[in-house]
Order: sequence, then structure tokens, then C-alpha cells
Amino acid sequence: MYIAIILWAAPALADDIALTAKALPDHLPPGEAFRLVITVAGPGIKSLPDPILPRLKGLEIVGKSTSQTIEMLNFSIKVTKQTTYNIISHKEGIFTIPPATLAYEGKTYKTAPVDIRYDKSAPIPKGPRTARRRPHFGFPKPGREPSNDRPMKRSRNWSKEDLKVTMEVNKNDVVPFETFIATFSFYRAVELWERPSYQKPSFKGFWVEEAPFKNGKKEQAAIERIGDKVFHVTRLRYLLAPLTSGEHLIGSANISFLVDPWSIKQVLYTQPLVISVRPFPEKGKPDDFTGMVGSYKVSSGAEPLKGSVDSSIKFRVTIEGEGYIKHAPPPPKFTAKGLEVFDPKVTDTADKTGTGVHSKRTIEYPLIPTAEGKQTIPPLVFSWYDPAAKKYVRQTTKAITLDISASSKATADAPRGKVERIKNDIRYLKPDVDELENWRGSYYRDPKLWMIIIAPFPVLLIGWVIAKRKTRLTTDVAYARSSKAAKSAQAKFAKIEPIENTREFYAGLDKALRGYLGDIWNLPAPSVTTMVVENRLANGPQGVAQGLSALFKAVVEARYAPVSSKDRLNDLKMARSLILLLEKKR
Amino acid sequence: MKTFLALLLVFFATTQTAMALTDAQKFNSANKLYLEHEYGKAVELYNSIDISNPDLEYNRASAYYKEGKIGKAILHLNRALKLRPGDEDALANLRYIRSIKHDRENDGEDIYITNAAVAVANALPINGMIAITLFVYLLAAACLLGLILGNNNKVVNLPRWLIFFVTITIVCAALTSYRIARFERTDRAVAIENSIDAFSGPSDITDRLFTFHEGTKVTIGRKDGAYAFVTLSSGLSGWARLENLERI
Repeated sequence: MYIAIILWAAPALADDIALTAKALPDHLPPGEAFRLVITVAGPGIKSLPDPILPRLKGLEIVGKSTSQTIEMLNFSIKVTKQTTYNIISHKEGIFTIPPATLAYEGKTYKTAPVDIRYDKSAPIPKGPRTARRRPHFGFPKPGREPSNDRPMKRSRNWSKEDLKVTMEVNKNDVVPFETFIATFSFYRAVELWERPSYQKPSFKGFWVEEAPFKNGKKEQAAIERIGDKVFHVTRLRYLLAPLTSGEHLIGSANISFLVDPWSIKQVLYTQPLVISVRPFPEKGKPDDFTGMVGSYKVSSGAEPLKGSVDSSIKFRVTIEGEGYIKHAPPPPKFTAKGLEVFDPKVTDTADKTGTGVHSKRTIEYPLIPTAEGKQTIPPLVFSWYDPAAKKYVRQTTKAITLDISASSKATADAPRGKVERIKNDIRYLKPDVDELENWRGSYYRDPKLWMIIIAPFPVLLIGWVIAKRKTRLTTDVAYARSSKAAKSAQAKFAKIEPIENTREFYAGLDKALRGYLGDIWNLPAPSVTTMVVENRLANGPQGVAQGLSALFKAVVEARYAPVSSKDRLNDLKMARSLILLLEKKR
Repeated sequence: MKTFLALLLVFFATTQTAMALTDAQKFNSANKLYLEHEYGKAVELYNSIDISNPDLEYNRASAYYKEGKIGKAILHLNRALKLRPGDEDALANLRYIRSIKHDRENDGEDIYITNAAVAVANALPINGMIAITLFVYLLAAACLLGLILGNNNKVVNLPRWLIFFVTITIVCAALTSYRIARFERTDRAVAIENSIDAFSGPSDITDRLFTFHEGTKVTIGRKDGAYAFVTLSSGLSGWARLENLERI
């Protein structure tokens, strides 16, 4: 819908077009590029053509780019198209850029002429968009060329002179392990259709590492003028060191690419390079020479200079200079009386961004004094071959005296180091004893053990029963009275037995009997009458009810008539036997 | 005649003295012989003590090892561990001797309970463990009886004590049972001869299946005459002569 509105509106609104040209900056030193921005602005988007820039005298166009923006405001469409030319001059003077022209729907539009002043005293223009300030980095990706600041020819118009590769070394007469730089350069003054494919050369017989440029990058891109051509140059650097003497060959590097889609693939080769590697001279060769090559300075120091036995001291040797010290073998371990010297820690650093290598080796020996007094770190000798001076150099560190005091530790005299087992053996015997105990477990075979284990169960059962009864006695009144009835009655019988007074005796007997019956039936004693007894014991043991009734009758009669001692005892005996009968039946 | 009687008296006296030596004295004397590198005599003296004691078994194993009898050494170290499973010295020696003996065995077989929770229990004799278990058990029963009889009061929190003693009783009973079970286990044996052949049947006329060596621990199964069906820790099994094995 939106697009339809635009298409409908575009021809209707095609009206005035504005064409302007502007140089940024317009005052600059020779060799610097400026931007000429030609802007076409107007309504409508229908096939707006590019403005035509006339031939420039004394100026060279090194890049071109276009951009277009469309704005819509209140149904009004405004199209702005910018064409930016990167233009350079290597001469001083004032240059006039003639008007650019644009023909559109029968009308011709023109820009105003623009003056550019090239002057050595002019400030170098700032900003990233000048050709020199923003070189092309790395190999171009397909479809990315041309960019606005590349002096590229159109692909159809290129020649073989527009492309070349080189491999250069900064030294070709060296000794083994002497480092030098090989630089591969790819020059092109034409657009490439695809990203080039690079094949590095053979470096057989060399130690090889990639050497970064000063900006830390592995590739360097630049624009260089050679003759009348402006080339984009991409460079790679290698740090090389021959491993043996003799002649060594750096093979051909090659790079392949398509310049345009309708031509064959182009492959460019570098020339192989022969490097002569001289053997180390025998004259003046030190015995301790290990193959270190370069020009170095040696320094040393220890820290702290005062210590105690068993304390830790660091002895540091630094070798620094031109050359790749990484190739040198590890430093020797030295011995010193009164000092235990441990394996050194070696740290190598190297700056490979220059024309050679500046490297530094720090050797740090941990020392532990083993005796007190003045202990000396002996001088250490380092030798190397200096290819610049073409001679061997030997440098010696200074002897360092350490002031060692006695150890504060109790173990000062004990030798230090890793404890090593001399022999394997079993552990020693169990010691002598006063008594040798028999561990044979015999208790669990003894029946007494099981009896002890079982014993708590009946005890607990009895306890449970007792607790149960105790609880009932306190909560069940009838049960409590009933359970005590016979015992209470027997006690009362025993109490009245010696009484001679008939009335007292029978009163006691009556009380005991009614008390007993009241307890077992849970009744108040006075309410136990002959009738109650007969009713309750109607189905009871035979003769008990009658016996009790007879006893109650005897009790009543005894109040009014004397009773012999014998009869009293018979009644008492009868009462006891009746209670026994009742207890049995309960 | 007098001389003869005197000699007889001396002999009798020395014999009596020797007979009167206690187990502890024999043990200490054997230790002394060991120190004097008289390993054979030390073994003899250790063997004359007829009790089960882990220190005795350990020292006897050491003497056997010094005599070069690795099988016997492993046997007695196993017996020492059977009596006192957490004995670090015995475990260390067993590990060491097993590392130098001929046959490699699965170490997992000899896992003894050695963690801290039962280290104390492992250090006690079985009877001691039984006595402790029984004591705690009776305390638990007393607490229960007290609770039943309703004698709980605020000073002595019987339910809490009951839970405590019951728990301790269960733990002690479990450990004791484990120890007894280990002690009563008699199906383990150690090869005491240098090289022992295992056959497919209880006879040497059957196929020889494999050969195991001195110090190798085996599990004894059913027996048939002079042969027993043995299983090695690796799972290999066959029939071997019982006389070449000694039960742990």
C-alpha cells in the first residue's frame, strides 16, 4: 500500500531538482585526498541519473561511491542521492573543479565550480575517510570492491602490470639462528572479483614464525604509488632463523584470484630466494658456546641480600638485546657452597615487530641457604656470537655475596628436599602386653546370655499387670471394694474372735458380714438386708443364702438372749466358711 | 645317682617353668625373638598360644612374612582383621603383602568397615561388644518398666531416655551381629602352598582349569573327599585340594 502510494505520487510530484557540489576539505597538502560530494535532491524516485563530472586537470580520482535516501513527509517524497569522489593531487596549486551536470526530464542541472587549494603549509586533514588515513586492510572479500577510496580500475581494463607479488628479506647472509625478516607483498591496481587465495612459501631449513607489524596485526595494508600507478599493497612478514649452515632456499609464495568473472584465474608467484648461511667461525669460539646468536647485555641481582638459613632468596639473571634468545638452550644449573640451588624459572619475551627481534630472557634461580655466614653466588658465564660484530662475546655476571644468619627454625640442620623411600616393608609388631586377652567371642554361645536377654519380658509383663490393677483400683470403686472385701472381712473376724461380750461379738459379726456383702455388691452396708441377700444369692452357691440368713437371725436373737461361747465360735466359723464359698464362686 | 636326680630336678623345674609361662609372656618372648631375627622360633612360640587375639595374629603374620611364607602371613592378617576389622596396621600389611604376591586379586573383596562411625566398635572384642549391647538393652528395658509402672517424673525424662537407649541398643546389636557374622564365617580360606592347581572335578585326573598361588584368598563351597570347590575373587572356580588351603 505504501509503495503503491509512492509510485502513484512520484510522477505527479516530479518538480524541481537541486544539484550541489562540495569539497571536504578544500585546503590540504599535496598527496592528501579530499572528498567531492555531489548531491542531487528532489521529488520522485524515478530513474534519477548520476551527475556527470567533467575531466579534472591536475587531479586524480582515486575512489567513488554513491548513496541514496528517500524521505516522506505529508505525502511529499524527497529523494537525495549523493555521489562522493575521492580526489588527490600531488602538486601544489589551486585547482578548480568544473560544474558537474545532470540531465533529467529534459532539463539540465549544474553545480557551481569548486576551488581546491593544495598547499604544503596546509594542515593534514583529519578523519578516517581520506585515502591515506584509511588504507585497505587485508585481502578484499568478493563483491566488496570497489570501495569509495580505492584507486581501482574497472575489471575489464586491467593489465598484468596492475598486479605483482614480491618476497623480500632484510638479510641474505647470516649464521645459524640469526634472525631476519622475509616480507611478502601483494600489489594490485585493479579491482579483484574474488578474495585471493594465498599459499605461503616453503621455509625448509628455517625456524619460522609470523612476525606482526607495529600495530600488532599480521597483515599490513597500504596504498603506494609506483610510477604513475597507485597500488593497494598487502604485506605479510615472517621471522626466519636458519637452523644449520649452508645454502637454504625460501620457496615461491603464490596468490591466485579472479580479476573478473569472464577471465581465467590469475596466479602470481614470488621469486625463490637463496639464503647463504655461514657456519660459526671456529676462531675464538668459547667452550661454553651453545649457539646463542645476537647482541646482548647481561645483568644479575639477588633479592634479598640478607637472609637466614632455610629462607628463600631469588637470584635473577637478565639477558636482553637484539636476537632471538628463544632459540638458546635453557641455562645451566650451578652449585654454590652453602646454598641449595633449585631449577631456574626461565621467562622469554620478544618484540618481533621491528626489522629484527628484540628479546629478553629472565632466569630466576630459587636459592635456599643451608649454612650461615657469608655465602657467595658465583659468577655465571654466558657466551654468544654477535653477527653484527662478527665475533664471539662472553659476559660474566658479578659474584654476589649473601649475608646469611642462623635459622630461627628448630629444623635448621635438617637436610631439605624430597623424602625418598629407601625400602618397602611391613609395619612393625604389636607391642608387648601384660595380659593377652582372648577375643574369641564366646558370650553369644552361652545360654545365660539369652536368658538375660529374655528376662526383661516377664518382668515387663508383671509390671504391666501390676500397673493395670493399680489403675483399676484407683478408677473402679466397685472393683476396689470387691477386691478388698474378703481380706477386710477376715480381719474383722479375727478382731471379734476374742470378744466375750455376746452383744459386742454379734454386732461385730454383723458389721463384718454386711460390710463384706456391701463391698462385693458395691452397696452401702446398712442396705444389705436378708431380703437383698436372698435375692442376690438366689442363684448362688447352694446353702449360702440360707446360712447368711441364719447368721443374721442369730445376730438379732443374740441381742435378747445369751449365747454360749461355743455357739459364738460356731457362728464365726460358719461366717468364715460362707465367705470362703462366696470368694470361690466370684 | 645324685647327679641324675639333680638333672632330673632341674629338667622338671625348667619344664614346670616353661609350662607356667602365661600367654602374655609367650607373646612377649616371641616378640623378642622376632626382634632378634629368629623368625622361625618366634612363629613356633606364637603358635603355642591357644587363644584368639588380633595382636597375636598380627605378630604371627609378621613373623611368617619375614620367614617368606606369604600365604600364612595373609591368612593370619585376615584372622587378625576378622577379630578386629579396623586394625590399620593389619590392613596396611595386608595391602602391602597382597601387592607383592603372585596373583592379583580384586581389592573390593576385602572391604572392612573402617569408617569413623564403627571404628570404636571394630576395636573392641566381640564379648565386649556383647556386654555393652546387653547393658544398654537392660537400661532400655528398665526405662520401659519405669514408664509402665508410671514412675515418670520431671527430673528423669523416661520417654527420652527410652528412645535414646533403644536407638543405642539397635546400633550396638547391629554392629555386634555383623561382627559375629563375620567371625562365624568359615567359608574363606587362603592358599598356603606356592602353586595350587584347580581342576574341573574333585580329582587330579580331570581337566586342570587354572593355577593359583600362595596367598590367594578363595571362597570354599562344597567338599568332596580331599577336594573342595573354590571360587576366586575374579570369579574363576574349580576344585582344589583342601590340604593346600587354610580357613581364615
